[in-house]
Amino acid sequence: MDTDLLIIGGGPAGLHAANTVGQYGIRTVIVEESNALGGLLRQQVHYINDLPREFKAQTGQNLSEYFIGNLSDQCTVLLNHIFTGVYKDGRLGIANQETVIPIRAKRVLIATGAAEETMIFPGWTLPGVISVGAGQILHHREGVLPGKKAVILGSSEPALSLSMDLFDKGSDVAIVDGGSEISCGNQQLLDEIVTKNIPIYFEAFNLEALGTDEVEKLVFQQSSGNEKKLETDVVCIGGEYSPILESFEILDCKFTYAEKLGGWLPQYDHTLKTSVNHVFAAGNCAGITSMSGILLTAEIASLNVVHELMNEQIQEQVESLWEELINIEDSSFLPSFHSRKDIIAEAYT
Amino acid sequence: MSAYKEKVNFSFNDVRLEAKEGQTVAAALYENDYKKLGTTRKYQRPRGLFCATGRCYSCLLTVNDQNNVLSCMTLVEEGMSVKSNQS
Amino acid sequence: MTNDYDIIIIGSGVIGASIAYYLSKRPRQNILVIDKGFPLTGTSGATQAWVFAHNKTPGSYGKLSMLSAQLYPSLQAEIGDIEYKRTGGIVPFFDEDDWVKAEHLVKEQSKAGLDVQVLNRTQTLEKEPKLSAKIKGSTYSPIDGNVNPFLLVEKYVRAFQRNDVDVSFYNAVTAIDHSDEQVTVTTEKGIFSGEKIVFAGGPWTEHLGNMLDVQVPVNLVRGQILVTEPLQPIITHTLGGMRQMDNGVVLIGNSSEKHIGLDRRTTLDVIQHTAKMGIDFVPELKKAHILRSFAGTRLVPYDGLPILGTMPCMKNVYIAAMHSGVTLSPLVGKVMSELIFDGEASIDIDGYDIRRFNKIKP
Repeated sequence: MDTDLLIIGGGPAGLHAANTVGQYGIRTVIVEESNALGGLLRQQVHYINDLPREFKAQTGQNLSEYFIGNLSDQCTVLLNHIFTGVYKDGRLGIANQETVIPIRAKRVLIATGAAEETMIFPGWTLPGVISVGAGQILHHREGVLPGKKAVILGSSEPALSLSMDLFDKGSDVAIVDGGSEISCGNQQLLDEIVTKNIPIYFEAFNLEALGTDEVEKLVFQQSSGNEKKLETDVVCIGGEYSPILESFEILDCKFTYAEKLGGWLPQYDHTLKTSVNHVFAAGNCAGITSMSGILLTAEIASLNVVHELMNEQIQEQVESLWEELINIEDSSFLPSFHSRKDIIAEAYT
Repeated sequence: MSAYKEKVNFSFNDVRLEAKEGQTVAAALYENDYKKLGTTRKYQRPRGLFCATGRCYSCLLTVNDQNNVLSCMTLVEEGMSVKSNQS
Repeated sequence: MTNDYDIIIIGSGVIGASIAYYLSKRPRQNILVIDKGFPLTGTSGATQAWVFAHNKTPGSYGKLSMLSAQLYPSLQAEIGDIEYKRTGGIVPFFDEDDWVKAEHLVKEQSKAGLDVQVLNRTQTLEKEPKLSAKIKGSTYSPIDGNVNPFLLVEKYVRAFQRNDVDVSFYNAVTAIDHSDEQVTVTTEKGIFSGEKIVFAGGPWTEHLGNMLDVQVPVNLVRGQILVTEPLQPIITHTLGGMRQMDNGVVLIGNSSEKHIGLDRRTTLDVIQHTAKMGIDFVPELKKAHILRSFAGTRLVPYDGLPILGTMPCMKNVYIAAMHSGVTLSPLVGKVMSELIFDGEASIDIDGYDIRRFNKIKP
């Protein structure tokens, strides 16, 4: 199989990139490891407030449907496939459980997204201890209530959002956080948590999940010296996110470290091209960011692909996208944008 | 919440269960109140769904005699035989 | 840490570590082991770790491998569990024409005292029932087996560190100066001097030789290996091409690519070929998931035989370079320690001297 652009990952970044290059008649193949496109949008039932200018406010599930509906007939989607390796002649091996398809691609865009980190404490491997992301997937995508007595660990926006959703479904919810204040910047969400009297235990330490075959209790110490024991049937761990990097490793891209962007990530320049000439990066795998950051980096990368393959003038568009990204990351994600600038500067040294 | 239409019959460790069409095996089992999916090889500690995105390998099951299937990435199908991992 | 040593060993892989271990059992030696990386980051950590004698070049090399295999049980008793198992080794063949070669091998190996047998299909399948019924026969030897390479090197390192050997890891050697009394080793972390030094750098031995203007006559080849998910016991012998670890994973690989240099990436071409070989051998593996693949750089002396002894024109610079370091490690550690400490090895290793190659500059 031959294609102009191979996109690894069918989440928001990959889909938006496919649609962007699709407008120019560029042939694309999207490789998606799960059984559906959409990535994290699939379990995003809330309105996303921070979309780029070109999108109106909508839920993630709506946005996903919009992207999928707009895919051009020049776009081939390979669900349940993974990028698994490279042949000696440079073709990429795209595998399902049965076979490996060799694909020759003029350009590759890696849009593999991010993975949740966990928190390690005794009992964290017990069944019923799941990630916040898994809680969202169960609840919003699979139609399964994760638990009736939920303990949410951490106070990031996804953690608080899940707390609200479970509370609204009638579950008892408690939030346990190791820090001394809320880490979520969404004031509206915070106000709701307070209004609904969802208990938050700050400065918790020495966490331990107890149970025989599944989690039954979460025990922790408080700074006051008290030990607290919560009866529970699900504990959701709200960890940090880190870029998913295997595809960059297979393609031999250079890496750099930027703590504010989630740790190790590929080196790239202002066109979002990695150290390997035909490989680009976009979305959370190029540094953990907001939904607008995911979509704007996807558009910047894919316009640069358009420029390289079609010699289209995209300079002005790209500049205005960078400007928008700077404005958004500069206001709400200040440290991450400085990190991004450092990475790009590094690519030119 | 997505709308599910059809019911699907499957079994877990030879117990007949119902799922909703379009659900993953792991989610269907969770809804049927099976949180423990299997045990670790060496110390026989209980394991179940953790990340739901195919990365943590905590939810491996034997599906239609194929060992080590990621149950969070596999859609449940009519008549599917699911067992705690045999390997 | 003093900078003056009796013996400096460059390389902490399975060969450098075993030499350090056997030397550390001798009295009053100040020994330093230097490695550009950390034990097991190189070739010794990228192997199936067969302890395999029966398909080695018949004669002396086959015997050397057998003697080494015979040392493994006592080594395991000394340094601790290294999962050494004398499983017996089977090399199946699929071609009628290979009967002649097999019988020739048996005859030649028996001259050196190696117990190798030709088995027909039925006899082979009796020993290893999951092998493909398409095989025509196999060669078999009870002396062959395998070991856990991670445990092996780790236990060597622990043992020689208990015996007060110093180490300097993540420290590449940048220059070596030699005189008859002393060898000076310049590294990224400082200068060390030793009365004697040992080259045990595996694939990097050629590079070390260049520092003394000696061409070490070796080629590099890359071997790619597949790792399956943990499986129920499926094969009990070490096969010429695969083995099963104690934890259930099967390692599969028999590739050997030339002219790759030190590139340790895997390629899908070889991976797919290797997977096909695995299924040809053991059809049931078709259902196994592959967890990962890895590659190791192995050195092959021009004539395939180990290089053991001193460097040309240098009495105090020793070299131990070979392809099958895991198989040979106990024996090479023992005889090199004898050569270095006593001035003479307990078995005849003259045939492995580097001077047998005529391309060496004086």
